[in-house]
Amino acid sequence: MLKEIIPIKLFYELDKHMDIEELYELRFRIGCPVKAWGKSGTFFVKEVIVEREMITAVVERATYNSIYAFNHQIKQGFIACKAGYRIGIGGEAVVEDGAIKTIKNISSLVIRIPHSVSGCADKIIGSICDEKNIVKNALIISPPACGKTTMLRDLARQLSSRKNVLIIDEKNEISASVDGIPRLDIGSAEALINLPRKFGLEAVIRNMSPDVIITDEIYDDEDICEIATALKSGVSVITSIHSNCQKFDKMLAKKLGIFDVFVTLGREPVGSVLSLSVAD
Amino acid sequence: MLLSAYIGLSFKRFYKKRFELITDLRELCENLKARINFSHELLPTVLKEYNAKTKELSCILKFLAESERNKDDLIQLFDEKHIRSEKEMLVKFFSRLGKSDIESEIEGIEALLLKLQALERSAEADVRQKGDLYFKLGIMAGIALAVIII
Repeated sequence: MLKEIIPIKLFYELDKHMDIEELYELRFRIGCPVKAWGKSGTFFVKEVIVEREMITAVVERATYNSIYAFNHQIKQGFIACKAGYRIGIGGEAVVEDGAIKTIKNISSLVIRIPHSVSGCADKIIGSICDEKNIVKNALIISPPACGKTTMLRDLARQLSSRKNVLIIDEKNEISASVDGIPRLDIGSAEALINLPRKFGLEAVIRNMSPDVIITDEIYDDEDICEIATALKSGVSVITSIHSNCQKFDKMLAKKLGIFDVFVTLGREPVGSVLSLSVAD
Repeated sequence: MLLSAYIGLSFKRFYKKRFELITDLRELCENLKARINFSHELLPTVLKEYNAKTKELSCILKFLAESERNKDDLIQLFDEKHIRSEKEMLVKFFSRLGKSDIESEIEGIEALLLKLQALERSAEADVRQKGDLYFKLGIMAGIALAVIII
């Protein structure tokens, strides 16, 4: 799939330097060499200098030459590709009537490649789901690129053998579905793709009657309200948030008192569990 | 006589094929409009799934769905003799298709649709008037030639 999006020359250069399967992230910036981050570390692909045409081609391929189908995402600064890659976009925002219409003159891209790490949630699953199969509400906390989504995916996979798990996959990162079929292992969990949480979890709960909802990256009060609604309905929620792990407890714990389990992740190595605390 | 009748028939066929191709293009535009507007369907999917009635459009769609649609390729693609006079308009439309937001896409499709509807009407009139005329002229020329020779 990556081969279909990035320039073929870049793909072969990456293949020479590293195992493509272990690639986490690619960064494009006009005039600079492509920066790759993988399991073996970070390096610059000096043979490939990014040009505007290259960025345009990547965007066109990632959107299947159908910008109109992705413009709602482009406005928010990303493209969620079919295969679960998330492409972050840097450029010039076009603002009309106080709202972003689109992003033009795109000058940088960050392609994030999702991975399935079976068993990465082994350390925390016991604290989230007890012997009686009661699932606690859990929040996974870390700065970006520490494996929150990978952790949620493995939790979905493991919990789906015991409970009805529904994934609200706003950016198609957890299941990486293509034509509605998950490409990454989420067990027997069901996935609702590209559904913004703000459209309401209430209807989803009524229609799908899940035991557990797993959703990625909550940001604001609106998201927290939606999650509180789900909890009122008797559904357990497992989600993640971007935050500085050390400062998190003081800043947000009070506000996010709806959660029972807090897990913080680190980057060295990616996905390492730094702390696990269970609320009284 | 047979030869001149055949030439006349070829002219008639040309107008008929042109009419069929323009009708097919118009129906494709209607399909594009509905599927892009309603479900934001991806362009390659719409192009692949459209059931073209003419061989010419079927080849064009296959290429459009699979290629990167750069302008040089499109100019060659729309060099098909039945729609050569509409080449510039079609190249412009297909090279812009899929590159803007939904409102602009729909506006573009609707504009082309209007042009195609007008073209379709004139192509239909051409089949009736010019097509039949050339066919009859061919037969008459053949008869005249036969009379002269005899």
